[in-house]
Amino acid sequence: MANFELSTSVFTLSEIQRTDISPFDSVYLGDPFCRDYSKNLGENREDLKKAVELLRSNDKKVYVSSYSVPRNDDLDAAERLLSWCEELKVDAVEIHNFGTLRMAKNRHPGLKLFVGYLANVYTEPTVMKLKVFGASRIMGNYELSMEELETIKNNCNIDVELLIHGKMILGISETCLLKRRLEHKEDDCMDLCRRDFHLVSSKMFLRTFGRVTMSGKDVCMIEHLPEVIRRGFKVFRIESFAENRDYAGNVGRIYRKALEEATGGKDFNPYNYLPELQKISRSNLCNGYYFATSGQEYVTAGQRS
Amino acid sequence: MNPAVPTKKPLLMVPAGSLKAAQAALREGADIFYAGIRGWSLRPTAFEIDETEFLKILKLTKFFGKKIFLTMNCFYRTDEIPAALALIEKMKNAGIDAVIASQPGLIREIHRRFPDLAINVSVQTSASNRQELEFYKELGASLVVLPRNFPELDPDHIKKLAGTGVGLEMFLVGDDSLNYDGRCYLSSYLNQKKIKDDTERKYCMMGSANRNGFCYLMCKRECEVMEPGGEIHRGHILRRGDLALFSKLKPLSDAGIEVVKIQGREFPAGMVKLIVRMTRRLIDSIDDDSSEKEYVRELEHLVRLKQVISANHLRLLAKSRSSFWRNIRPVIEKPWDNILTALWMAFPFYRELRWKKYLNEANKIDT
Repeated sequence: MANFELSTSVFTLSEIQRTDISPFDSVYLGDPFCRDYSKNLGENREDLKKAVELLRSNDKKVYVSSYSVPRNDDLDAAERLLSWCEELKVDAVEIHNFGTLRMAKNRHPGLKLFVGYLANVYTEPTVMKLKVFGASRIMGNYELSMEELETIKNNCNIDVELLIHGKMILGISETCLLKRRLEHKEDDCMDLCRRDFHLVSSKMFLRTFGRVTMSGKDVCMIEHLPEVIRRGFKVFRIESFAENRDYAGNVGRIYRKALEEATGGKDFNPYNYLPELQKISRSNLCNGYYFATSGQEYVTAGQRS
Repeated sequence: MNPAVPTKKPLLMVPAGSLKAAQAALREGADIFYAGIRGWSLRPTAFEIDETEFLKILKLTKFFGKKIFLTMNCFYRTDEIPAALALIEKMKNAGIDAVIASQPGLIREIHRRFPDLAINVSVQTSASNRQELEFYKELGASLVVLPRNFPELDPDHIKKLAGTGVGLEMFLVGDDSLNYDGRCYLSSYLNQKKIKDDTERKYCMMGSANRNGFCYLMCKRECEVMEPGGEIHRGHILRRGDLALFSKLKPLSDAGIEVVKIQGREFPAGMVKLIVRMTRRLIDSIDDDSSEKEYVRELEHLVRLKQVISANHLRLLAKSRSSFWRNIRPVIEKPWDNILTALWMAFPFYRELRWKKYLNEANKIDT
């Protein structure tokens, strides 16, 4: 049994069926950003049940992501999702909203709860408070540096999950930018976000996924895996939802191999993998905020030491 | 609603970005003032005041029996929290009425240490459902600011939030942000630097909207939308515009809004004075439909002036003449705005003093 956990997130049943999930230990199900995303697992009980069964038969852990910015009218749907999760006995629910967290704690005490990156967790007192509400794993805000995350992990004695590859979420809006841009007036969603729309300005290149704006560059931590492991992180996520169907499998396989080497005490050379990752990601790479720099910067291992 | 029952008048909360602005707002009848101390609130430091000025404002507002809230709404680092609490304690002894905070951890700590100090949950939390309001109430908060997004500020939506035991507050004048407040990291993605700070925070993450308040306002800059086929559409501004909900004041108060807030600690005193004067008149005549319309029109012109300021802001950030004209053109094309632009341009002292400072800050990191 490997001493790390590698996970990814998938939004619909058909995406799971066509994604190679073999490199992953666990999968987060459902789109936490938009309730209108068609066939969203978070809104569809039958699909969710099938997805859970499929993952269970593959011996994977199943987590469910709940909607990240529920307004008052969305609370019923959040409650419904929590009861499905309890019924299907999923391993945990990822929650980005403190209202949903409170509801889960009060009404579904049996559920294991994770707190997601959109909950804006920045400090230890906040994490301690969230632990009282039953959180057993957190994904700190992306803006936190690795040092800060390590301190939180050690002082609060909680699992901290890291995004090691994939695009970061840089903001969530209450309306769909794509629908707005195309002056799309009908209520039904045309699934515009499944196509590649980008926002380009003189200084930035961003991917827009309807209601969320994502970094144009992929966060890539392969060069820094030894440091990540030295700091004691064990739970890693690869974000692949806005990518093509082979992305998750290809990147997952590379990271599984790399992590096995790096944690197993074998010789680990990140440069065996870096060119392939560069090829897979259609844009440049960055390190996010892990080294207290701008999110779009890439720091090499040489610059760190 | 029974027309015989008069609408409960909401309290008016105004920015005290400087002593002058506070004096002006006081004269015009503001009920609550909010201000942050340099380094500790979400504003670029050029628009923040130091402790001495804050204490002067505090003395002034207390003398006239008004309330003052201390803004402590950054997402601090863990090691800054003791210093933040020490500052709150000092200001509590000086007489502040409430603290505006956004981190659950900090809110809990404040409530634990100073149980009699009221806590106002900042707009940065984007609290928009009953359960979330209950969450903050359990932490010890008594007033929550609703997010600045149009759909959230719909009276029907607010009615559903009323009655949890925490007071509801909203921005009447402000920016309508692209993303939910506190859920936008575009600025720090573009540029973020750890710089030494001369305040007690020691160093700050310049460029992060959540951690420092210095935002590059990416959503106000022009960008291009690239379609899947590679087709490019130019000239998009992501942000929708400004929030000016004067005409909705009555339905919003009926729905349960207790405090209306005006954004703009960076505004010159003269502008704060005008906005506060007219909003005060609007609140006082809340049940009188006839007088309302006249003020609303005037107020909307004022908000347009704010857009001119935003354009200036952009010009300074972009430091390019061409982008200035691109931003200013839509404003100049309208005659009313032309006059307002001229008015704004006629106050060079303010522009020189504050914007120059801001520009210096931008230069420090805009490599």
